[in-house]
Parts: sequence; structure tokens; C-alpha cells
Amino acid sequence: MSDKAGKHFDLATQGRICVLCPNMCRYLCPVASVEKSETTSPRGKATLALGLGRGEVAFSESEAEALYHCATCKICREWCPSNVDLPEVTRELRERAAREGLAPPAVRNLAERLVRDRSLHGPAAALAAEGLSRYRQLVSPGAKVLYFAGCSTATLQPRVVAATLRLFEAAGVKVARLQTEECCGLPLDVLGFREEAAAFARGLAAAVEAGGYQTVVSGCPMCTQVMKERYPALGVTLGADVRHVTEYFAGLAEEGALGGPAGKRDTGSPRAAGDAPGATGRPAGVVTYHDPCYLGRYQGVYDPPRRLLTGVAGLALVEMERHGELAACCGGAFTTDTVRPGTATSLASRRIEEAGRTGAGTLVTACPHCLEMLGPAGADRGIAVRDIAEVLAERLGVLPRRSA
Amino acid sequence: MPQAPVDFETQSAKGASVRRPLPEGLVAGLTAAVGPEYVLTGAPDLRAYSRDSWTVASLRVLHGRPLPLPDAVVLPGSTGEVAAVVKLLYDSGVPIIPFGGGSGVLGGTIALNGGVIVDTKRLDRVLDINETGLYVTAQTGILGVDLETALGRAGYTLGHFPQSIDVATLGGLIATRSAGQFSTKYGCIEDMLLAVEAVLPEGRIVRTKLTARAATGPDVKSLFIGSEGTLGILTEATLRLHPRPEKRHGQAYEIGAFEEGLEAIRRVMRTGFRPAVVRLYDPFESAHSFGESVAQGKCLLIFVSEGPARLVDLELEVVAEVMAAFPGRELGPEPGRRWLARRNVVSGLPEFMSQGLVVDTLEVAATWDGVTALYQMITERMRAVKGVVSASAHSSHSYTQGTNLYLTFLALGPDGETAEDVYQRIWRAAMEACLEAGGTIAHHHGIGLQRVPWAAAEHGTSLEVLRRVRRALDPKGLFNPGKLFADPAAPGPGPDAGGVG
Repeated sequence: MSDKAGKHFDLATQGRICVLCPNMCRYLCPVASVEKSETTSPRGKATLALGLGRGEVAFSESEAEALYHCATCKICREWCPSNVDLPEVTRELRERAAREGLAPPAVRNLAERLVRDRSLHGPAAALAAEGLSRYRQLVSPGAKVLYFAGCSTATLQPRVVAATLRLFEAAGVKVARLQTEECCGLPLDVLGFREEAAAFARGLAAAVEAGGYQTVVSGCPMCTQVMKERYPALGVTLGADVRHVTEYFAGLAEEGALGGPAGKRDTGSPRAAGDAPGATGRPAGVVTYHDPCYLGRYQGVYDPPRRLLTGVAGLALVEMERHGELAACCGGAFTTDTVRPGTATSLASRRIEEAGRTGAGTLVTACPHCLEMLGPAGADRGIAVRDIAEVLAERLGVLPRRSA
Repeated sequence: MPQAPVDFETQSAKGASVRRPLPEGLVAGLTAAVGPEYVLTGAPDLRAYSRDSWTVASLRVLHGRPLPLPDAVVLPGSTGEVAAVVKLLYDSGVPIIPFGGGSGVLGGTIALNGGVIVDTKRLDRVLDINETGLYVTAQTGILGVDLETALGRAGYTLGHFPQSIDVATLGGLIATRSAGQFSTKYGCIEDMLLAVEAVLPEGRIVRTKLTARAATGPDVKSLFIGSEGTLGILTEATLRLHPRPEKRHGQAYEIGAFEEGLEAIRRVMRTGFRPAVVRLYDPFESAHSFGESVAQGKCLLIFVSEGPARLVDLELEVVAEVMAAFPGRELGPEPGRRWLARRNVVSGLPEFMSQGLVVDTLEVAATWDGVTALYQMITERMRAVKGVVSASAHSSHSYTQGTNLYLTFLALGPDGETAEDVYQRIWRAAMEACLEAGGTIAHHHGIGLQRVPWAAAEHGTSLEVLRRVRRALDPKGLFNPGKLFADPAAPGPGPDAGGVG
């Protein structure tokens, strides 16, 4: 038996291998661990995919729905000795479900709304007007670096936008923003609406070309993943280098462009970091880090956020039991959380429970969707859930500390 | 002569009538008992629950051949819900198939005559880690790995590490009479179980008393060990704990012949020491899995000792003394480390099978005075089956009185029919050889459906005791019909099924 490295089976063989395996990764599968059903266990989905793919099974709405009970977190692939990538094995079937109008109603609604609004949280144009005016002084039209906040960050987490722009300013990097920032296309792509996703991708590629941007930086791992990995698969070339905020700032930090907390800026009390010690008795200045699936397992970005937290922000990092390659999913990737929101919220509370066991009072993450999923669960258990840009900006003293 | 256990197309389970549709209103009743989210009747659900990890079921799915479907699946969330569901089903005369992780390799959960699968995985809580009493009580739907992780956080271990630990539920591990990789020290599941709570076939909840030991008549909890879903549904279990070991260390040896290795293990077992892991591979498996450590044609013998550091050191010293009497060489800790790292990797089986080969494992056992003959006879007979590429063995669970043999075979099975045929011919050769050599036909996988044809010969006159117990607890013959042993006199499913006198 050879080792995991170097095993590359085509997708059809991967599906057969998964069907023949005793479901060995089921304990890591977030959906299986909450829903408990064999149907939505990894082997259950592979079995369904094989039957559908060979036409032995009629494709109806109930078959289609089971395919969406997948967080697309890729922990199965990470674990699998045969490198079976189940979200990819089932992708084509989600696309067929979407095409044939068999996708679950909640999925179809999300897709329709996204196509109509051009953004996840309301009409993109309206949001753009408000968002851009707020940070006008931090944006340099004509800059070669494009800061693409992503629609969830821009709408739901304006403070993260401010923090990120302040970090660019502190590092002496001039950034531009798009007049109207539309969805990157990832939710449509992951839900199977391939053509619609490609249309969004083409729109963004045109905007990047028109602006002459050389680098696109986003704090949303889903945006950077779809741009890096899926645009080529959708036949779209984005003529710019794509970086997640953590990759970009870790690079700047290495060049010395970002100061540490002991640098020239006044960082205030050394026990910063957004910790609210006292109430929970958790130590200040100690954080844990949640690896977003789309940043870690998809893009392989594990070290940059950790280097920023410990090296630049000067925080003590304690890892959760499951971190890095085997980090547990928070539940939010538009799939599971759309068809069965209860599964996603259970996953979020479990992740927070795990964070609680580290003793850290703050969980830092680097994804707006993780932030939205984990925030409420954290509030219930006295654990602050923060975006890495916000934590960094506060530690560097370029953003006022958030009041408790 | 025993035949293949079941022909899905023409034969239903022995002693059970043909399948009937679910009685009207039953699904509504189940829904009222557990909530709509936990009653599954969709086509994808029934297909997903039509199989476990039995190779025949895998081959059926791989080649698109039919498997019997259950009529519905229920996932109760509490002992009370299990009892309500069971009562409803039993009163309606519907077959009931308890289901855990679906990692069984013998077809034990196949819904031969339809019926309702009761999946226990929502019963997933650790209820009490009692540090003074050194025991744990948990619900039975928890995965083995999740229980062990929770115990590890508290500084304890169950010492039960079957290869299926990441997939199997606690209830399944009890109901199939499982053995873990560290069994030589910690024992098998029957050595660990202190008490159970179960729902009997007619829906009554029973609990056995938790105690260190009792002289109060036959042991009721033991009835459920290895019951394979025929006597009720386990809902809670209390098991012995061990403080997490202070030290773990492995020591391996190359030895000239498999028979010599067996003799070495026998002598180690006589010393009174109990290395947690004792594994001996025949020349084929030694070369295949440990070719970098062992010379071609030789055998690998691994000992892993764990526990208090002083005991571990002394134990491995004693092992070395015993091994000095055998020609061979010491290989140090590396082979043991390699085994520990890869012990639960089973990807070879699906990878081979996806390429048109048939691969499976089966396990038998014998006392020391008969194990050598068993090894020779069973491997020879398996290799003699047309289409077999290899049949090899290792010993992985040893006792003072004997050991097990874990056999792995690989055969050519390019299409579904050929694959199942060669599979059954190999099994038949192995089971018959085992019985002829005086071995036990199952060491730790159980009987399920696949071994039913040989169960009567295995039990001999004692089968009647099992039959009577089963009929007493399940007078309608509705619990996992057709599994564990054939009972042609069992009434089987149907609205008018009555008891057996």
C-alpha cells in the first residue's frame, strides 16, 4: 500500500472507492456528525452519486437535496488515504440539479436572489454607494492593488473593512476599491449554478482589467478561493494576482512594512486583543484561531494568520484540538446552512465549545462567513469571535479598541 | 452442505414471510414519536440504509445490482423514544433492524424482508465518567472514537481500539462482540462491559445493575453481547476505564516461520505478562506490509506494551527473554511504530476492489493445540479456490489458551456475478476448513448474514439455548430476522404474527 501522497484517482474512480470504503472518515464529516443519517454520510452521498451518475437512480428533488447536505469543507479529502474529494465527486450532480430545477427551494431562492441583487445581502449598487462614501479617504483611485472586501464583509462587518483599510494605510500600501462590488460568484458555483457563477466571474474579470489592477486582496477566503481556483475552471481569466488578507499582510510583515505591538505606535494596554477578561475569567492576550475551510484546506493558508497573530499582534496562540488541516468546519458554506440551518448552527456551537476548552477568551478567524456563524455561538458562551484584520489593527493601534 | 447465505432475488430470510407494505398510519405514528426530521422514507435514504460494509453489499452497489431496501428509517433521540418506536413497530408486526455505524462486514443490517431500521446514532452522549469507580456510562449511539476522545480529555482510556473505532458505535461494538487491537492487555468488549440499558423487542426498557461483580445468577447483560440486534436495542452501557498509560513502547522480531511465531506468542502468554498488542504476520503479509524491515520469506512479530513505565520495561524484557530461544533477529521499535501509524488505514481494499478485484478479510480462532493445523488447512483450502490470487493471515489477538487468525484474500472478480461467486466459494472453503480443523468460525466480526450457514455447526447442541432465548424475548421473530442463526420455526413479520409456545 503506497502512501497518501501521490495518489491521484480520476473523479469516477474516487466515487467508486468512496462507495467501497466503510465510511472511515464519517467521524470527521461535519454533516454526518450532526445529522447522523447514513444518507448524508460521506459514503451515503458517494453511493447516491454513483447511482445517479449511472442512471440507475431517478434524479428527483429528494436525491438532489441529499447532495446539498455537504459543507464542502473538504475534510474528507484531507483525511482520505485515497485522496477522494467528495465535494468534487458530487459537483457535477449539483450542477445537474441546478440546471434541471431540482435543487431544493432554499437553494433556488438564494441563487435567484443573488442573480437579481448581484450581492448576498441586498442590491449591490445601493450597498456600494454607502460603503464607499464611508471610507473614501482611505481609498486611492488608480492604485494597482484592489481591495475586494466581499459582499458579506462589506455589508455585515463594516468595521472589518475599516480595519483592513487602516492596515493597508499603516503599511503604506495604496489600495483602490470597485465602484460597485458585486458577488464573486462562489455561492452560485458551489450550489451548482455554473453558468451564473461564470457570468459573475466574467464581470469581475472585466472590472479588474478596466482598473488595471495587478493584485486583488480580499479578507474573504471564499472570494479568493473562487478567483484563484474556480475562475480558471469556469473559463475565466482574472488578470491579477489574488491574495487573502492574511497572505498579503504576512508578506508585508516579513518585509518589515507592518510594525509589531512593540513598535512605534501606541498600542495602549498590553492586554488588548478584544479580550474582555474578568467576566469569564479567561486570560487576556490569549487567543485561539479557527482555520476557515476555504482558506486552510482549499488554499493551504495555515501559517500566515498564525504568524500575524503571534509575530505582529504579539498575542499568545493556543490551538484547538482540531486545527490546521483537520480543523472542524463552522457550518457556513451556503450548502448545509441553506438546506438545513440547524445543522450549521450545531456545528458552530461545537466549534465554540472546542474553543472554550483552550481557555482562550477570544477566537480569531479570517472569514466573514465563519465570523457570522461563530459569533452568535460565541456570545452564548462568553467567547469573543473576531476577524483577524480587526484584531491586528487594534493591536497595531490603527483602529480604536472596540468597546465591550 | 451450507449454501450462500441468501439469494436476494428469490429468497427472503429463513423463517420470515414475504415482505409486506408498512401498515397504514405507521409512519405517522413514528413521526409523532420522534419528530418528522427523524423518520426517513425517501428513496436516497432507503438506498443508503440498504447496506453495511459487507463486501457483498459493496459489490452490489459497485455493480449496480439490487439490494433489499428497508421500508423506513427512524432515528430516535432518547431511550424513551427508542421504546416508543419499538413498541409501535412490534405491535404492528414490522421487522426491526437496529443500526449503528454501518461498519459491520457481514451483512448484519441488511433489511432482508424490508421493515424499519432503527438508527441509534442520535444517542450520542457520554453520561458519566466516574473517576472513583473507574467506569464510564454512555449512550450506545456514540462513535467509538468520540467516546475515546472524551475519555482521553479526562485522562482515561477504554483500551478498546477496533479498526472500526472511527465508524462504529458503542452499541454496535457490544452487539457484534468486538475485539480491539490492544485486547491482549485490556480484553475484548465482554471483559469491559459492566452494565447495560436496553429496549426489549416488545418495547420494555430494562437495566442491569452496575456492580464490580455479582453472584446473582446468569449474567443478563452478557445476553446482549454479540446479540447482533436480535434481542433488543442497547441504549446505554457502562464500561471499565483505565488511566491513560504512562508509557507505550513497541518491540519487533523477525522470525523464521509462522508456526515458530505462534509458539513464541504461546510462551509469552504463559509468563503472565500481557503486552497490549501481539501481532504475527505470515511471510506474505510480512513482505507486503513490512518489506522494508523483514527479509523475504520471514515473519514479523510485533509486541507493543503499554501501562506504568516500570511494567512496560519489565514486560518487554521478559518478551526478549522468551524470544532469545527462537532463531531470528530483533528489529527494534520501528515496525511497531509503523503499524501504530497505519493501523486503521484500510484504503487498499476499496482501491483494489474499484479495479475489479475482490478483497475481504475473515477471522477465526483456535486453542494453541490446534491453531497451526487450522492455519495450514484454511490457507491451503482458500488458495485452492479458482480465481484466488492470494490468501494470507496474521494473528492479532492472543490469549493464554489460544489465538485468532485474521485472513485476507484477494481474488479476480471482474463483474458482479463472478465476484460474488468467487467470494462465496472462498468463504465456504474457509468456513468448512475452520470447522473441520476444530476452529471457531468467528473471532470478532460476528455472524451477521454471511456466516449464518455455518452457525448451527459452530454452536452444535448449544444452539438450542440461543434459539429459546431469542424466541422468549422476541416471540414474533421481528428483531433482525434471518441474522445470527437461522430459525425456520420463527414466525416472522406480519400483522397477525403470534408468539411461539
